Amino acid sequence: MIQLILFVGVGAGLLVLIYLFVRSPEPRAEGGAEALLEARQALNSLQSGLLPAGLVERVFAQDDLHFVSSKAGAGVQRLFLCERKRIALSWVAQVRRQVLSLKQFHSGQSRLYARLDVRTEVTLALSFASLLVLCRVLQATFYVRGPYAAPRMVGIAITAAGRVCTVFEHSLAFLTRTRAAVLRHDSPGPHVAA
Amino acid sequence: MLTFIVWWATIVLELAILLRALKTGALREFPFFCIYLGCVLLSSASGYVVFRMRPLQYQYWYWTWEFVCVIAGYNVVLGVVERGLVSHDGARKAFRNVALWFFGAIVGYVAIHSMLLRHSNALISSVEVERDLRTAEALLLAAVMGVVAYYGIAIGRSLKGIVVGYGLCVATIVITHSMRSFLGAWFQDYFSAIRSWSYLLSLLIWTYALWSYQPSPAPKRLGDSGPDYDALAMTTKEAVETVREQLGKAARQ
Repeated sequence: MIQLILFVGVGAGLLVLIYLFVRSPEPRAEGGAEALLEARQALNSLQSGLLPAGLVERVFAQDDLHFVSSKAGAGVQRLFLCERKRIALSWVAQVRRQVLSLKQFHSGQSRLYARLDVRTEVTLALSFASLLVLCRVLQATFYVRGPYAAPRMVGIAITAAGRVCTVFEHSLAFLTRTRAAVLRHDSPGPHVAA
Repeated sequence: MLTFIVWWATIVLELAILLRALKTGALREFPFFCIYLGCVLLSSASGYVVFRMRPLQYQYWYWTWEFVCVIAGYNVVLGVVERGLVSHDGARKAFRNVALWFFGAIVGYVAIHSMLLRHSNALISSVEVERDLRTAEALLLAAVMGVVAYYGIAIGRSLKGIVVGYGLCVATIVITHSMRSFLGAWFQDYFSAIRSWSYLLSLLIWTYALWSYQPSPAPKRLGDSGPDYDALAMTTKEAVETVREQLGKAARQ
C-alpha cells in the first residue's frame, strides 16, 4: 500500500508540475540592463521609503505602547497592538520580497555563465529556500507574539533591515560593473552603426 | 471496437507528426523525439499486425517494444535537456551528468529487482520494471522543469509541447502501472483504456506543438568569462548568509 501511495504520489506530483509549467508566465527577456534598473528601483524604494532605521525603530518603539497603555482604555490598546502587528508583518513581508528579488536576480544572471557550478548553485538554492522559510518563521512569531513580545528582536530586526539593504547594494554594484564590462566587450564599433 | 479506433487514431497521428516534423525542420531540431515517436509508431503498427495474426504472442511482443520505447523515452528527456538548456552550458553539462548517473543507478536497481522477481508472474514483473523505469523518467522530467523554472529559462512552444505531452504520458504510466501492480489482473482493462486515451491526448498536444516549429529564444551568452561567475556566486552567498544570520537571530529571540 505504501508503495502504491509513493508511486501514485510521484505521478500525481508530475501532473501538478506540468500544470504549473504550462501556467508559468513567460520569463523576462535576458536584458541585464532592465533587470538591473528594476533591482535598483526596488532598492531605492526600500532604502528611502520603507526600511530606513529611524522609521523601523519608530514602528517598534515601546514609548507609544507605554503612552497608549497609560492614557487609553482596553479597546484602544487592542486596536493599537493590532495595527502595530500589521505593520510588523508588513515589514517582514518586505524583507522576504527583497530576498526573492535577490534570488531572481542571481538566477537570472548566473544561468548565462558557462562556468556555472552545480554545487554552488544547489547550495545557494537551498540557502534561499531556508531564508524564505526563516522569513515565514519571523512572520509567524510576529503574528503569534506580537511586535512587542520580544524587545531584543526589534533591535536585531532593525540591524537586519540595514544589513539587507547594504548587501543587496553590494550585489547590485558588482553586477553593474560586470554588466558594464560585458556591454563594453560586446559594443560594436562605429563602423557597424549604419 | 473503440479500442481499435483509438489504436488507429494514434498511428495516424504519429505518422502526421513525423511528416510535419520532416516538413517544418523539427526533425533536425528534435531528432531524439522523432526517434522515440518512430519507435512507438513501429511498436503500434507491428503490434496491431501481431495482435491480429498471432494474439498469443502479442504480450511478449508488446513488452519487448515497450522496453525499447522506455529507452527511447530516456533519450527524449536527455534531448529536452540538450535543447532546452542549449545556451546554458553549465546547467546543461551538469544536468546531463546527473541524468546519466541517475539512469545508470535506476537500470542497476531494476536489473537486480528483476533477478529477484524472476520466479514470479512475468506480466507483473514487466509492469513493475516499467513502472520503476518510468518513475525515474518522471523524476528527471520534474528536475528539468524545476531547473527551467528556477532559472527562468525561456523555451519555445514546440519544446514545451514535447515536455508537457511526454510528462503527461509518463505520469499516466506511473500511476496506472502502480495501480495495475497493486490491484492485479482485474484492473487490466481499465489500465489499457486509460493508457490509450492519455497517449492519444499526448499525441494531440504534440500535434499542436509541432505543427509549426517554434524555436526557443536564444539568450545572450556570457561564455567562459574568467572569475566573474565565482565572484557573482560569492557575492550572492555572502548576501544570503548575512541576511540569514540576522533573521535567524531575530527568530531565536
